[in-house]
Amino acid sequence: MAIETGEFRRLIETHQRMVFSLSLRITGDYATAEEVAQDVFLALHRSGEQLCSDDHTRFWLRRVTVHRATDALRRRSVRPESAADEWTEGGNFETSAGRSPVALEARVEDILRLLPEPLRVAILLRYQEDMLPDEIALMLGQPVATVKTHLRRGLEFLRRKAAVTLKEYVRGTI
Amino acid sequence: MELFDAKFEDQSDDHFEEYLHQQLRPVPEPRGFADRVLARAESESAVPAKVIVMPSRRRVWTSGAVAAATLLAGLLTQQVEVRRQRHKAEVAQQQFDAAMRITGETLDETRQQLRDAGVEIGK
Repeated sequence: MAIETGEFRRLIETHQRMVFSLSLRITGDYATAEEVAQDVFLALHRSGEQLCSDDHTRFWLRRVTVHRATDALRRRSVRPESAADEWTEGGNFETSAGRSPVALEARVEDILRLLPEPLRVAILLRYQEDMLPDEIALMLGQPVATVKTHLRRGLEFLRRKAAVTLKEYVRGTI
Repeated sequence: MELFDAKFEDQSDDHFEEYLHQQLRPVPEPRGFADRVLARAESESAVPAKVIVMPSRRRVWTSGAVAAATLLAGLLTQQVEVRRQRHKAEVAQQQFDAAMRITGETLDETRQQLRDAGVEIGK
């Protein structure tokens, strides 16, 4: 049985920002993110899921959003902007063509898009959604150790990339 | 514009994680998002229906009549099938009898030919 309209609107307005943000940062594309986000809420509407609380709803929405966004990402065959050889532990993070052009504001999410999907998802759930590693593991159906590894590697990459990018930014403006 | 301290490698993990928390706050949804979702939900829910609602008393009789008709149709179908199977069996028996008769006649002929040729065979 579908959720009643008034309640459904309330659920959308409460959780739309979270759902859209996750979709956008996973897929890296605005239009795809909106499509995914709409589909997530429609799935909720159709499922007639027995939602006990907002926490339950949030858990359900996060899980479905991550699954659908990663599916959309794979369907679009969007590869991380970095070449495969650039993504190495402790490796050199310059591109083969030299350092990439620097945006006036180097945003973390631009760098985030360079991460492989499993690391990107872990980082988003941890730092956008403030989920703990065991909560992330439960939601994704992964071992906690795997989640912690993804977080550690993702953080290391982001720190190094951010340091390189922001050094250039500082040089350019001073 | 605030210049950020670029020396991330010198910063503690906590500092960088705090920076990530700030940078990864949820982004605003597109304008009118909720309205678009509701419109899609409504269009999915709208199913054209032709429902004939009958008065309750008549409904009971009608259900009974339908059930009886269904039962009768089932019985008739069963009877037709039984007759069909019986006919098939009769035809098969006739064919078998004919085949046996032909085979018997052929054997008699063959025996006679052998006797004419001077060959005695057991019966």
